[in-house]
Amino acid sequence: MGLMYILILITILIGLLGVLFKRNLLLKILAMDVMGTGIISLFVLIAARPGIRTPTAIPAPATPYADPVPQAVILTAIVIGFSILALLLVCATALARRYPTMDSETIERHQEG
Amino acid sequence: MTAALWVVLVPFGLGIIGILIPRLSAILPLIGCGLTGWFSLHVLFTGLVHRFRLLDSFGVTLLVSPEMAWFTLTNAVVTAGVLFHLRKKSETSSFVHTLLILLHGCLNACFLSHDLFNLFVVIELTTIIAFLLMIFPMTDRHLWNALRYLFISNVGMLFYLIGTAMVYAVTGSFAFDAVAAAPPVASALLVAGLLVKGGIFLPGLWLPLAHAGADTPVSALLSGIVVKIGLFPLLALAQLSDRVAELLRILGTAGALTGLFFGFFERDIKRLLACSTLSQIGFILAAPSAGAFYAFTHGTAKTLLFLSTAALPDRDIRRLKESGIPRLTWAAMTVSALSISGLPLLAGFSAKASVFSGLLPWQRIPMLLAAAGTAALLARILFLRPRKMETTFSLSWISIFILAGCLFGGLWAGPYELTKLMESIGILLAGWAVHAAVTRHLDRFSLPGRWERFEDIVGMTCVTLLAMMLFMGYSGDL
Repeated sequence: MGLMYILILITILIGLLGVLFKRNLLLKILAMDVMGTGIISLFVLIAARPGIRTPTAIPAPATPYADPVPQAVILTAIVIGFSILALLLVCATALARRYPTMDSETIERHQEG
Repeated sequence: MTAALWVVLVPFGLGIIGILIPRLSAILPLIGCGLTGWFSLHVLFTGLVHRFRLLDSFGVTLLVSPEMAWFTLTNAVVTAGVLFHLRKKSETSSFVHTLLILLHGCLNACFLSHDLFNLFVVIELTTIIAFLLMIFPMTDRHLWNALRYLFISNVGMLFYLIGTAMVYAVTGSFAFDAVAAAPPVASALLVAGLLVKGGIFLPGLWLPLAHAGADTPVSALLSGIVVKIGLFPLLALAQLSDRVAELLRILGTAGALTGLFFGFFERDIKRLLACSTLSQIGFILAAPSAGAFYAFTHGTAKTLLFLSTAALPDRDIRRLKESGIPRLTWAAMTVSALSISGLPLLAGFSAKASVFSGLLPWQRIPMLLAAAGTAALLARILFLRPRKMETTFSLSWISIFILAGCLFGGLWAGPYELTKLMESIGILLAGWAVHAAVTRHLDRFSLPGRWERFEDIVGMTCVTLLAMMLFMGYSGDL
């Protein structure tokens, strides 16, 4: 359990570092998605608790079962993350016509000047 | 009392009808605004506080309260003002009207929500609709601006989501009330995400570019109401946890001064207004108990200011000083700028008075400075000359009437004590003196470095987050 938390934390950090240090806009957007994936896994891990059995309605279950609530809500977050990713990529594609290198520094300097 | 849900469901329904029958799309949003306005006034006059849960255990908690009503009232007034403004523009498509009414419904849902995860969903929905509105003319500048907004907002909301997960892991609930029992790091993460959304202090530095770069009606919406979706939950969290309240007081005071600092160096009128928003948001958080009413007065005044910029011949303040501005625009801008500066008899004065009575002793001096600074910053707009001139676009009388009407509503709200009146007039005069002596000349300089860079804003958010974690841990006997 502890190891899984550490791995998920590392995934989130890798995503964050990508957002901060990648200069390519496309990679920045993908790094953000890596961060999102890490957070979704965090929800799944929290939901798992000690039990991994499907939470079906049985009176007095013999083995511990997973918590269905975070799993249910995280579906919404996955859909939202997906739609935001799609919108960002469409936007980036439209920008790529003018800035083929997708270098965020170049775009920013150009927009200012 | 599930009647409150109608203010969310009706706008969504109207939006769908608007898509099916585009001819009606210009009229339908007004029905939604009317409903929201009526509902908010009803809650305000009866002082109703009602909490209810949708559907069974693990359901979503909703809270109806007078604080919520101030925010929904702002929503109704701002959306109505922008709608009448859009009606004067003949080329606006029905798509924009449909987005407007959907945005209106989402915002109402944000203000009703009292559940961490539900709030996440509606905030993200609002961000997406705001993004679609910002992107509209589809030039490269708009595309970049909207992309930047969506990206930074989403990174902020990811922090918020981690906080939500931690709250659930400890308390087994997504309700706001669970935050009080959650570990300090979780509240720091939640607050960090909402700071980004609300445009507060360093994480909010994306705001000037986003609000100034969008088209005028969209800027008005963003500054008037959309940034408030980050503020409302912060105010709600401040009520639940003393540590969060303390943190917000510090951040609010710092934010009020930061916004002003950047504003003084601006030459572009829309950027100046956006920087003023950055600082006004600080006022809303500095005294959490008085924040809701302040948000209302700021929202209406700032919407009127932004809408007025549509009728200006130029965006550069120095050129405007030479050319003068149309008379009607001048009147609208003067009323709203005076309200934000806190002139007695306008709504901004009573809001400022209630913020000042809610401050802690150490906040008083920085906030007095911030109030004088606000007067000095807006003096640059106040002292433009009215002149009779032909313009390509004139403002809509109805939107001026609605928005300015709300500001004059302060006539019967204000505390008419001599000390308060003297204080606010003193602040105004001090601010104008500073304007004449110093800040008038500051726009000749521009700030060194590029403080609005993409990475820097995400970086500053991370730094603020770490600082907040330390603060929360330190004061929470970790």
